[in-house]
Amino acid sequence: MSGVVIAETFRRHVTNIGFIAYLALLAILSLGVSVFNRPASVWPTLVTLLALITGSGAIGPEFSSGTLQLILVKPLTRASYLLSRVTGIVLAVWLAAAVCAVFELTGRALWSEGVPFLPIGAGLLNIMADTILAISLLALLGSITRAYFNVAIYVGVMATLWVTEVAVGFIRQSSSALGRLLANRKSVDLVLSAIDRNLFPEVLPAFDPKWLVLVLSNAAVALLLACLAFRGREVPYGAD
Amino acid sequence: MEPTRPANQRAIPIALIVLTLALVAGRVAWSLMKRPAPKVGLIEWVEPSKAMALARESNKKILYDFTADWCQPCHLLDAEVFGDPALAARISEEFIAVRVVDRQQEEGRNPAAVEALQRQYGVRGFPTVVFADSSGAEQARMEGFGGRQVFEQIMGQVR
Repeated sequence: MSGVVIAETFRRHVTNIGFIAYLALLAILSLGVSVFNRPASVWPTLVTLLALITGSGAIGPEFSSGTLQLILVKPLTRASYLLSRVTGIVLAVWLAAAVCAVFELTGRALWSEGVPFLPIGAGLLNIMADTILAISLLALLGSITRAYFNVAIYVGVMATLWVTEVAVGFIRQSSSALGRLLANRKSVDLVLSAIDRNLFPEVLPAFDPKWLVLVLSNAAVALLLACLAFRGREVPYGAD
Repeated sequence: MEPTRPANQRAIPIALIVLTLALVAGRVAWSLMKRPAPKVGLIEWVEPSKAMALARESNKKILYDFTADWCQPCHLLDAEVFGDPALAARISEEFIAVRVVDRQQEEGRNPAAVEALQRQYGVRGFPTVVFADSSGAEQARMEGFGGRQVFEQIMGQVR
């Protein structure tokens, strides 16, 4: 991997005014919810959202802007470039997650009786793993599409899954032929739930090594596929 | 002078391939491993399938603890009730304790026995503690964890 690309990607994100504003919002929220909510309950969702926003620019937009052609003349393999970009983005999001954890711990130390180090630490660890998966998937989608289609596909798949799960539930309760057909088909739920669990796992507030291995193995597969797709892809001249 | 170009600009890093294979292998191995019997607090937990027979043999009632690893109030219940020596001794003396751990979030589904018990007792959230007689008929329940005293009060209602 390239330290220069990692550092530059990280720098570009953390010096972005939008990123700084979001980080400030996260810090205030983490401090605020520490008074009344259970540990690591609110900010992990917001950090995942940040991962989607920052991860959307992983590689796809560079195909459209024409910058990729210039970058790839440098002495750097395509895979190294892709992995370095992903690492830079992941580090920027991890910074945000760490800020949230620190502010929540501070809030609880100031206003609560005990400081729940373990649940917050577990929440931080889990969101760090989840961030790698989300950004890896966006990099994979970015390596096979252009512009910001990666995040559109990501959100589209997520919404479709959710709608399908709800629709299956409704159809099952109806007395239609399809409802009767689906009534005893547990496999439909298992397939939908397996896709959901593997692509968009819910961040657990407790340490679970099995869940961590699931998330990290999926992220590694996504990154490998992204490298393979990027490797064989034609890089266009100029911007769209 | 021209910068040194990598020999193959399209090479895939071996380290990434090895890491991916190792993680996938680890995941497969883990899913094949059997989960050890839960050891929480000072209670001797019994498998759901053996609970009724044991309850009949010993003339005790059954305590079902419906829980999940991610559930924070469940951990409080573990620490304050099942981890308390006096309460744990009382529970072990009067009840056959069964721990029913939900794995829906982690594994996408629950073992059939867990699913059946959750349906039988209409479990809507965690923690839920159900006190039942040896035939499985519900006698009392505690939904959520309102503290040790609430637990003791509900347990006291079970005759």
